[in-house]
Amino acid sequence: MTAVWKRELRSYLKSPVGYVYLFLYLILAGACFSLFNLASYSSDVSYYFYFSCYIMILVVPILTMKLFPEERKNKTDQILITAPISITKMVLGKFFAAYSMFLISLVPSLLCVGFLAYNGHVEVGILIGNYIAILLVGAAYIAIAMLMACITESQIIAFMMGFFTLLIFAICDVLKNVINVSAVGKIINVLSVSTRFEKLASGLFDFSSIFYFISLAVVFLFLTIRMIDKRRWS
Amino acid sequence: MIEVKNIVKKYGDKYAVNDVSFTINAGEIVGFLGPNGAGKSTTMNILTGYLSANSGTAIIDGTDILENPTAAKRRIGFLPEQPPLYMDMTVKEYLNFVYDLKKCKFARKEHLEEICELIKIQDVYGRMIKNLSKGYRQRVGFAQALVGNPPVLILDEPTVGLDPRQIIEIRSLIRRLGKKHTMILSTHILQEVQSVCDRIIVINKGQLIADGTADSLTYKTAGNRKLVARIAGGKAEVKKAIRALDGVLFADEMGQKEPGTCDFLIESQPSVDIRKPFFRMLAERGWVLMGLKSMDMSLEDVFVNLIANEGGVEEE
Repeated sequence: MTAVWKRELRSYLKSPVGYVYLFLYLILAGACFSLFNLASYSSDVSYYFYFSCYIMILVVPILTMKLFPEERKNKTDQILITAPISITKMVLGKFFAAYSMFLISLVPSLLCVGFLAYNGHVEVGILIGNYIAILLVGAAYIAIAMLMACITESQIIAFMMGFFTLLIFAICDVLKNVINVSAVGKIINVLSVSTRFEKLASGLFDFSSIFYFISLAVVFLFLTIRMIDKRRWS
Repeated sequence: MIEVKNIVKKYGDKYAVNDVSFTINAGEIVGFLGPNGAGKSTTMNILTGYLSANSGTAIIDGTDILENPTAAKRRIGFLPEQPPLYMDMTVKEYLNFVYDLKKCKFARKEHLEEICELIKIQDVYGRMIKNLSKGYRQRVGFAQALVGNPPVLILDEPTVGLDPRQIIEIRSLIRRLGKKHTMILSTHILQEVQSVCDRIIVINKGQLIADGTADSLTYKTAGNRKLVARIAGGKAEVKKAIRALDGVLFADEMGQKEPGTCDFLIESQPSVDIRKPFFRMLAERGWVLMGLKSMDMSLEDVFVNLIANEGGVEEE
């Protein structure tokens, strides 16, 4: 697992993909920070993190789009699958590589928070809640986008499918207001990322929300593993 | 060392491999022979755990690849048809990655250096794989299979796309490795099998159609023995005398290719070697033997015969 993790992380840092991801995320998150904190003289970090969540819909698929399609195109998946490690460990290695990149991209947010704390007052509970929430959302989003990437052999399709799937998870609340059917509303309530994000971000230690994000990640990682294993049978 | 029993692999309702069984002993170099699309690669992919079989078992060095894949995979070095190389890594980084991936427990530096020396890739050790020539890439693929010193090596068309000099190098490498490893290599190049393999397994349309040494296959499929003899002497009498020999089924003149001589084509029963009595007979009569050539079937003929026979069966 560590071998795969190390290789993927190195590949992120040596290829443009990793930097495109970092550049896009940081410039958009930086814009949010300027808009919601600097321009409006506010030390409330909630908006910054809330909108970071939406930025991730766009940037997470950039991280995941090359994880499987490139391997299949170059036939390097053969060395991974015929190596004496399980498919689960291989998938987890890739997942943690993408997650490590995500963690790296969160490091500059500490600067923003530090700046706010120095110049104003930052509610510690809310800050911790926001960090927990974004770390969980990141894991869930990466797992979802990974499944989309493992379905296809094309990086562009992997990106598009990842983007639209994440979009559905993120904005289904809006749909609930448009489609005014109670059954649909119930399904959307189950899926909705943003309600649960807000709960956690308000500083509430909501176990069901934490469980929701973790199980979302686990289910999609499991589906990814099954998907790769299934290909060996067809 | 390798025991394959009744392996079946279906793609949809088409059989890619249909009920293939064979056993390979430790230290053997076995050639998988067959036309393109015969099921060679599929069989190898099943043996290495890349694909799953619909039914059947494959036991590598006492471990079932389907039941205990991780342990079995540790005993196999696999060079797929297209070497699985990461273009954005240097050879050094790549081999270190493979070393970690296979969870080897040797002295890392010495082990990798030994492999590089054996494969002769020391001079490209620090270069990016994407900048290497096809021959070097193939060799790095080879090196990857050797990491961890697995007892079994499975090589899928190891010489395809290389220039003649590289082919010779790779073949001599295979022969050297054959002393320490049990090997299966697939190819559709017949000289390759002849020059490196102890045994040949012929696969066509997903089925095993022959299994044996090159000689035994030639013997099995060859039918009658054929000789061409160039003799200085009276045409008609010579022909008559040859036909009178024991075991000769057919003899006829093939025309004159050298002044004062005549070429004869002689066919004899497969069980009889007529060369000695033939020579004595000529000597007794005072005829001079100017040349004698055995027209035994080459492996090419054997292969074409086997495949053709199969095709015939299929059409019935």
